[in-house]
Amino acid sequence: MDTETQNTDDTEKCTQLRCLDYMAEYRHCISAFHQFHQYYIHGKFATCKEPKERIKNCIKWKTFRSEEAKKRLLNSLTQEQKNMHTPDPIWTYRSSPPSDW
Amino acid sequence: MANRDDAFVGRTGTDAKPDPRLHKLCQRRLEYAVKRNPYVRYMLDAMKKAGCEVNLEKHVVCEPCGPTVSGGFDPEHRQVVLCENNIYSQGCMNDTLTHELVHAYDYCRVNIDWNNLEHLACTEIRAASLSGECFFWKETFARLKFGWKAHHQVCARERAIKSILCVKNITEAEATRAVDSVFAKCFQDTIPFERVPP
Repeated sequence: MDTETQNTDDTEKCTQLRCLDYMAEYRHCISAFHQFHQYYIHGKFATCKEPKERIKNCIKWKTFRSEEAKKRLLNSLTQEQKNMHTPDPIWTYRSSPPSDW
Repeated sequence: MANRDDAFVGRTGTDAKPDPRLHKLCQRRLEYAVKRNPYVRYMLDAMKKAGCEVNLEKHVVCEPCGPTVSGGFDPEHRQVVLCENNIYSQGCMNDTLTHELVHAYDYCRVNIDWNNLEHLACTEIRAASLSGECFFWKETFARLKFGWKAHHQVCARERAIKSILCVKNITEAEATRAVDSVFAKCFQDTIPFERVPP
């Protein structure tokens, strides 16, 4: 996927999500179930700083049309996508799916 | 020491005892898992998005296997093997199918060398972590392995070592060394899930 399409997709994703969705995400993060799950997986509780920042940036962008807040929100979403991957993989990625599947 | 031929007797033809009743049960559980289990459905969707849509007739088979395994991924034939004689419940089917689909997903998206012990360890760590085998209640109440703080990592590491020993003719020390060398990187790699699923 080229960067332009990726950026457009992210912008669209940003405009489509409501601030209530980010609030739901924050509520899920601070819930006992999620905190327990985080402790079981990583050995420490989640701080939930990121979801909180996203709510603030979303409200700033939707109400005051702050471009800076929108950029911060976009960065936060992109960073979350990047966190799914390891920065230093032990293998190389395929450029296309295997032809013999 | 176990190796691949002992584990997948249905494929190698040695000592396989097919049972039509078990085969039918396996098929039924497979259908239920594909229709109802959220993890299996998520993995199938991820495979489709990655360009390797899973055709159940072609890519997933129920077979009798040796005593040590409940499933496997055969990269030569590009098939997920489900062991009809060892999968004892729907829950087991769900976990096994998700586990093997993680291997299939890795086959689809990376240049995985199945003879490279580190690659094998990495895909096993991911599969153990993401398939639901190491859920808290399974570890605590079914296997009686108590632990809370970061116990998921302990479980994933142990099960990855066990899985490698089922299919590779190597010592436990070698398997442990391979798993430990790549654990940190591979545990972090949760794709296609956004994070380790609950």
